[in-house]
Amino acid sequence: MRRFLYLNILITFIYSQIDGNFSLESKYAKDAAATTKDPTFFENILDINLYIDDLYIFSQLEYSSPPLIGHRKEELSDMLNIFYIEYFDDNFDLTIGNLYLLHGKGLSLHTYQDQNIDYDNSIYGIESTYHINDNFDFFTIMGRREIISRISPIPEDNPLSIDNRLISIGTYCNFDRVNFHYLSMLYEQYYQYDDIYMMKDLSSLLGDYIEGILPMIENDTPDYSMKNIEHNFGFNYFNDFGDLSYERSLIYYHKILGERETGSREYFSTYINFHGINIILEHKDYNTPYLYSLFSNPPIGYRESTSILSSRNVHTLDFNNEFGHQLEINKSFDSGTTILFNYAFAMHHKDDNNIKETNIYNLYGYMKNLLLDKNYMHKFQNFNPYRQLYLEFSGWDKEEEFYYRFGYDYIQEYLATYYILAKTLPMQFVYKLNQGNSVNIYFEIQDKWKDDVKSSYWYFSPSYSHYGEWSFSLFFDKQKNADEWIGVDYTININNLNQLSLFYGSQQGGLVCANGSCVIQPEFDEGVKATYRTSF
Amino acid sequence: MPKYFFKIILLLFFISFIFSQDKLPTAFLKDLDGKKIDILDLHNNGPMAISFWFLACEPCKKEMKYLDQFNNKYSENGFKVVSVNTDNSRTINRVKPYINSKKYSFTVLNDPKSFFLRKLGGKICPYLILVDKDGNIVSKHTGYNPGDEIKLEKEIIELLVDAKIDSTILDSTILDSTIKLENEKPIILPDLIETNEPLDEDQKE
Repeated sequence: MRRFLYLNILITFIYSQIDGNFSLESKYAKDAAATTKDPTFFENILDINLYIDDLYIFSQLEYSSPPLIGHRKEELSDMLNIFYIEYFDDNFDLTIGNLYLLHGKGLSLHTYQDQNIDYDNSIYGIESTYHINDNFDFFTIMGRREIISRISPIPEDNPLSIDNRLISIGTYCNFDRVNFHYLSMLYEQYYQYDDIYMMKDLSSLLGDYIEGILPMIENDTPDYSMKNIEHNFGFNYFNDFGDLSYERSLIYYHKILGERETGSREYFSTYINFHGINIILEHKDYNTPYLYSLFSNPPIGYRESTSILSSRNVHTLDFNNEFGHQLEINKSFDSGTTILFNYAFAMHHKDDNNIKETNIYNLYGYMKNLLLDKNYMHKFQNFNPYRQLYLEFSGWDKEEEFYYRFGYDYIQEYLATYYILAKTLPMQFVYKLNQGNSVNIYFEIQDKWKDDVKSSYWYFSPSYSHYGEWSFSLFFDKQKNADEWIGVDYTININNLNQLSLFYGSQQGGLVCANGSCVIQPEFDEGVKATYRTSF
Repeated sequence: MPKYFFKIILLLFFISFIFSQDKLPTAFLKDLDGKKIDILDLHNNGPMAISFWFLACEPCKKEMKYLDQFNNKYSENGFKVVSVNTDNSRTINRVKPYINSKKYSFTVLNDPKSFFLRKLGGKICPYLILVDKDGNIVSKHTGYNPGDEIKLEKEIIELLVDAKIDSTILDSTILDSTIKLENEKPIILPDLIETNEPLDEDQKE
């Protein structure tokens, strides 16, 4: 590791034709329970980009003592998070190192890094793409990695660690209005007994299955490996009036220590523009309930929330067992006003001959669903149904000095052990002052029921921005007759390359919008946080 | 152990002075119809703004309204806005309907793996870089608050002036354009072009 770093740096001296840039993000926090020497978190991530003609080298180093989520990285040998080399010319692309892959809509193969949840399912290997001509590409992938996967939201709990070896080939065909792709992948997964044992805590059909077989294997404590095959096909069609997309995966896998299973994943979406009205319809059906899939990250089929309070009740998609749909209708008027309607519904497959699974008619029973009948969801509670309705009205005034956004968000979900219903009114107002200054206000109200216990929440956050140079924000977050979280934030853009943010107070976890951006933040008790971003 | 990490940062910081000016790297991204495009082909020897955004980012959407105005206002003078969406497969199918609903004039490309964002040193969105006519990255902006577009427009006009565009072909919108800030001296472009002198310090900010 040390030799690699020194070699990397030496190259930059030797080859003057190298271009490059670096970016650093440092986060430090000390809450009431922490000390300066042992802070709540101290995370530093350095990205190094180097370019040599057609060659591109990326490295990411991390020093965390401790990080927001995950294990400490204090030793030199642990610091290298990501490394890959890319070569590309007119006919051929090659990537060696960490492979971040996305083919089609990701139903079979989508690897990516998300620092917010300490997630990285990339593999170490080689990806090559040959451009046969303007219409056809052919690709191959080969790699291996022990992928860490969390099944518990508690950071201290041990994650799963599953070794994977993967080979894949495929092709892309691109024409003017239509494109196709096909890929085939073979991958071997190796589970140690400790990983199998931890999977009993999954609240899914797989968890139930593992819990059922554990008494039979706890004396032998066997490890297990399985070879899985996936075939993935998809197409996209575009015209002047809209789009059509379809993708399907066929999956052949084993139940852990059990028989061979056949599963499938399917995704369909269509978009049409009718007299300025946009209508988007998505359908998903992910049905591999006994597979612990590490490479599939398909479309979620519901709306990601932009509301601070609603983001705390976000639906957790089960990529191996969920089917449903999303309908969105929106229209923007010449006056600048936008109206949006979004509806999403999903449930799980159940492997129980005593329960009749819902059919497509029930699934698309919009009129019944739209009446927001609580009993309708209750009828399907064994299938863990989820439903979300969102309405929004937003726009600028004629002088474009005042912006308004009013929303209504309704979420209802039957989880394994409890039921949630949340109604939220998110609002945002912006007033532009002279000389590039502005005032921004977030104000939200939420009533939430967990089983039959009601809680009410308020969120109020005003902020002032001064000519893009600095901004100051207040946060007031309260649960009625209970806790409150109050904080202040000051952010200064030292110059175009350096930004420093200082926070003091308490913060609930979830989406936080301040300083001109919205990011997911962990829960934080009384204390100080500092974030520094630079690029050089 | 932290001393190694921070020594590396310091070393790289000093090394960065050895490198030539930060150049716009090549990248192949797909447009909303799946057609592959080289970002350098879009550059076309004119100043350019590249803006990164995603659907759940409300500040990004507010900024795009002004980027569309700048693209319309200054495109005849060689300036171009390229908007790069970073939604991955989870939500990417709703990008095109959103763009079509807003009828934006600029080019929109997809960067679902955030590779290009990473190449340009971006960490969070909105993230905007300004590129001069020679392909040098001259400015980077993280975040957006309403009102920031005023400072951004000044930077764009400075880029156009620095490009030493022939005044005889400048669009009348540029020639007549002034940016007036209360209690500040207005910047009047025809004076700058005729004298071919750089902006005074009090005119720059």
